[in-house]
Amino acid sequence: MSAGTWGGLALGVGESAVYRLGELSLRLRRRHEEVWMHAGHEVSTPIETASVSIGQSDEAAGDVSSEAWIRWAVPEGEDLELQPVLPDRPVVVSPEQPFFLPPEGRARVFVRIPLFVKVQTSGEATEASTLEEFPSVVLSDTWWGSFTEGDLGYWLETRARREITPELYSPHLAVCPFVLVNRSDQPLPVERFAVRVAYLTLFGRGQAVWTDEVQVRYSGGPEGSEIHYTGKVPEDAGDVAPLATSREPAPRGFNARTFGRLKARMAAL
Amino acid sequence: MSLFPDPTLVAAVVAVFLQEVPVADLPGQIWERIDWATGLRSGAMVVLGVPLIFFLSRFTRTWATTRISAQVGLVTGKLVFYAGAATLVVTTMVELGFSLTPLLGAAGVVGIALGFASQTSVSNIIAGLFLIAEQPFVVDDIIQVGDVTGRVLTVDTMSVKLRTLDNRFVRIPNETLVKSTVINITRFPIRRLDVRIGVAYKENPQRVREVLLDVADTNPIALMEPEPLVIFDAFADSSLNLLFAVWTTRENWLELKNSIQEEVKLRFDEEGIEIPFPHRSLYVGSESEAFPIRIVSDVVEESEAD
Repeated sequence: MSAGTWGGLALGVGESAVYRLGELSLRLRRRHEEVWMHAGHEVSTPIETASVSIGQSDEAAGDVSSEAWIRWAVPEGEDLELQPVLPDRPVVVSPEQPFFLPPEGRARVFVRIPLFVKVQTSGEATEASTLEEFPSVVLSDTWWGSFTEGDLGYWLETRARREITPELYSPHLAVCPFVLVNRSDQPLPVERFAVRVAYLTLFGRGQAVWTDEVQVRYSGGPEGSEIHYTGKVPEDAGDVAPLATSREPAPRGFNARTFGRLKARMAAL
Repeated sequence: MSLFPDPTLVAAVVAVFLQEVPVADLPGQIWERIDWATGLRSGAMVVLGVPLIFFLSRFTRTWATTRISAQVGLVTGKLVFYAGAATLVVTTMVELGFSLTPLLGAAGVVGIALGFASQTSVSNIIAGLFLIAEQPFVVDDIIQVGDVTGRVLTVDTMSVKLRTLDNRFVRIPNETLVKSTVINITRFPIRRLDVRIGVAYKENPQRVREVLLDVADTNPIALMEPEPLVIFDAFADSSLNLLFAVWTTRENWLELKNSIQEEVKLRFDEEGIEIPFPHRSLYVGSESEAFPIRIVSDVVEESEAD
């Protein structure tokens, strides 16, 4: 596995492995024509480094009740591969300390998005097929839209850093550079903003994982913001290599609601 | 030309409808005028027409279901079926040499009689048209009408069929639906779960509020936005009543109802927050003095000492 985090995981028959990333503790067993998987999360102690340990017996995979395992029929000739992917739904980012962007203002913020681990098969003769995806951090659900329509997303509280520091990097968090431009004549309150992560590409180097840059131009009014995914390595990332392509091809540029919040108090009574 | 059809013909057709006279005895001896070629043509129309109508109806239904919605598919399928059936009957009769004018006249007379007898049915059909046009619900929605809650199976011209959550079949006449309050439970993508909680008077409401909001924060299917709410509801007889309102998607509503109430109970146990039983304080004489209690054995000892 490259850098101990991603790549192939060769498990012989009867071998087990424990893979740890962030809050995720993923147990894998190889049994003849089957792969067994079990994902647990230690919410209180996220681990800042990834690790994998392979053992010869089932004990290496830990004591987990049989009902909790996920079984997959995988031929013996096929190995497993662990790949990083971004969450399967949009992420609604809530800065711990909301800020305002003045008219004609521009800000570059860095948001760290927890990765998912995609377990897929890898064989010489067959195409890779995805078995399961597990989040490295369990995120709460949230709603992006109105009370009558919208999208289900993940909730992410972030510090929305303005500068790159060494502690920014963690193997289970992808750094997403966000360029916000306020083209309206009103201050823009940045309390929540939606990141459509399905369009983001992943790049990596060592512990650092980056996404391509997202540029958002807010013009005011209900028509939303103009969003552009660059698809390229961000200038701050340095020498990084592609880790994973986006889940969906990014459109060249589109308008979508990006800022705002849904107030529940009006609907309380 | 008279506005009314020949009375003898009307009487004959009504008699046929009432099954008192065989069809062959209709005036003009129509059956004698049908030759083999006409019979074959009519038979072929029926043999080919019936499967064609079924095919067109099913095709239209499938097409509209996949491209528009199940509701529209159902309605258009039935429209095609009824229109096709009517067309087939009329063309076959014309082919057989029936003149439709007297029949339509007779149908008018019969229609008046049937109209009086079928007021409820007509009312249901008209109500059905309103339901289809207004669309307060569509196929697969879960609705509540009075005491009945179920998933909509079909919206027909006469009635709406539901499958209740405990798997019973319920038919509700359209007229009833138009007159009743219908709650569409699954119309909107998110729903609020209201949990009413009573805590003891000794508890700090602010702390209880913090604990409840933390429970909502840690439950992954409770939506962070719209944000969960804790509303101080009432000073009740035995408890401080709070309303704990949490949002979730309509698919997760039942799961949230189970999980979050269990989590509240466990968390209250951990935090030592009391959920009180109803209780009543009794005072004798003065509300500031305790109820006097004497141990029976003491009374006995005192009496023996005396």
